[in-house]
Amino acid sequence: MSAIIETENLTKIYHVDGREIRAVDGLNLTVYEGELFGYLGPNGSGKTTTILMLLGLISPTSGGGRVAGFDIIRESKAVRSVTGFIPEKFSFYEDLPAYDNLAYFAKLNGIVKNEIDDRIKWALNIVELSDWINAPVKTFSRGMRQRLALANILIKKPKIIFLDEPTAGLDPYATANFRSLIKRLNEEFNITIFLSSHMLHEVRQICNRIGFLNKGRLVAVDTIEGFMEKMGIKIILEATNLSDKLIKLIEALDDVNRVFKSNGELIIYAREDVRLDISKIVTSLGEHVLTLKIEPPTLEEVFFLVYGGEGR
Amino acid sequence: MSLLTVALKEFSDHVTSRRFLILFILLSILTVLSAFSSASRVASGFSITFSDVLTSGSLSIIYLIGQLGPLIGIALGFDSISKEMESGSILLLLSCPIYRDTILNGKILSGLLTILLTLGTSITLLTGFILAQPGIAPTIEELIRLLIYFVFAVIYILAYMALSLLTSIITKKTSMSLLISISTWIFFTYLIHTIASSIASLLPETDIEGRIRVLTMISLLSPYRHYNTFSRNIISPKFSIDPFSIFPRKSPFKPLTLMESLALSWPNLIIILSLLIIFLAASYIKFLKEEVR
Repeated sequence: MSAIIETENLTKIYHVDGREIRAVDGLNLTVYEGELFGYLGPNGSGKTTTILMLLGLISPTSGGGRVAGFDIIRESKAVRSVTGFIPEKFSFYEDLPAYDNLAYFAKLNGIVKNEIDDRIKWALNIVELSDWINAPVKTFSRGMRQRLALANILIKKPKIIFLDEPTAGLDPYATANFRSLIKRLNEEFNITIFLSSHMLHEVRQICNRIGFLNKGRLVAVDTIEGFMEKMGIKIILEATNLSDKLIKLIEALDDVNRVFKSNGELIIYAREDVRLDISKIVTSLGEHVLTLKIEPPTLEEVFFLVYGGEGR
Repeated sequence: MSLLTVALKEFSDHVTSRRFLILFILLSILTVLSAFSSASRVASGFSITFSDVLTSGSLSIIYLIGQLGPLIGIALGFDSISKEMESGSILLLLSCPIYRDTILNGKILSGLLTILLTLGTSITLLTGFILAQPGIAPTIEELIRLLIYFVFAVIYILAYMALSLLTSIITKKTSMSLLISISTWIFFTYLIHTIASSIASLLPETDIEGRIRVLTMISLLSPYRHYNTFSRNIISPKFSIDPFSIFPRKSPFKPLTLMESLALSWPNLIIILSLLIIFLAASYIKFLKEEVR
């Protein structure tokens, strides 16, 4: 796969009330063509700033990058001609019908006049809004507006779609609908999706690869399977007494990465299956093993491991 | 192409907006009233020319445009950028492959078209009524003078539109932008004369010349004063108001030729034009450097 988004030490510093805020700090990121990339991070971690820089809507303080082969600083107009963007907060022109809104943006996207009508109908059909073509946008629900925004982007047949918290504020049905639409666009039209979200479950459901962002820094990038592998084996221990001494002895085992108590259980992450050693330690302390099992780690656990249990 | 797309959409928004329609209808009605008032003066036996009709009376076109023009300009500009920012449509616009100045150019062009439409309608209505009712036909020179006034009035209204465009970009809040624009207009059109009088009254009563100088200097800060001086001088050859004084020139009365009127009043034109350029330049600089977040 070839890279479609590449950044090199991309940095954005804001000065607010005399303070220096590093919204994005030395970002080195590669997203490949056809990927559904999840850009995960707590609120204020620099996700939106990254997207705005990639689209050339704000200038980086230092560093740079390329999107679809175009330089994000010198060729930002070309970047925007092959990309689509749905911001977290956006609005169409409420009094205008869906068709007029799409036609307006289609013209601004340089679509030739005699193609506009066909493309609008095609895009509205994909997002299942054909019946609403002449309805004013003010009559649309939030979910419908999101789909209309997707249609607005599809009209220009983009290579990449940037989505910033696309399902925030949507009801469960609209959320599921929108996610399946995104997956469809990725699979059917091979459009690269760059999905920014703070919702782990959302990213887990649809993305192939995930980048974790914290305080402007990219702290980890991998596939979901890759993250699971890095987490190692998750062992759950229930015993008659989970004493501090027991925890220290388990932690001292060579293959153990991390041990912590949770809801009366001991959670152990290890590189190898160390259940036999654990069992021996419990018995040596005169206690009894109640449960000793292996469970696959969840992405939530990866998330908490990456962020040390807290966001910004 | 993109410029025209933005301009036509904005123009359509302007002419269908309630606030514009109210101002447009108000100006048209007042223009008709102005024409009727001049008709009644002719009927009363006054001998007046076409330019007299335009410059005299409490409802002259100069007065009407001077008062309502800034409001039209402000109405066209105060939410042009802030509304897009508040609603979030600005990000959809900016994510299109267009340069930022295209958006601003489109909005300014649409404002210009709307002003041309409004002012054009008003002056056509007035001319039509004056031709029909009192039956006074303009001379060629009067028509040229009216045309020059028309261009100047467009610049005057555009300057206020540019001011409110700037406040719209700086404040990013529609309500704040409107408040600042209206306050600026009220201050420089009405309050400044009261302030000038108050300051002048601080000088000794015997220093009449000093008082007049203070009064004149402060009132020169008012765009309305420059508008009024230029408009009267250019529309009517009978006016010869000094561009930097509150009194007519001391030379004996003699109607001025068009070139003499222009030579007399060009500083007022330059001042209004400078205001327009300053506000537009500041708007471009601020908007192009604005980091949308």
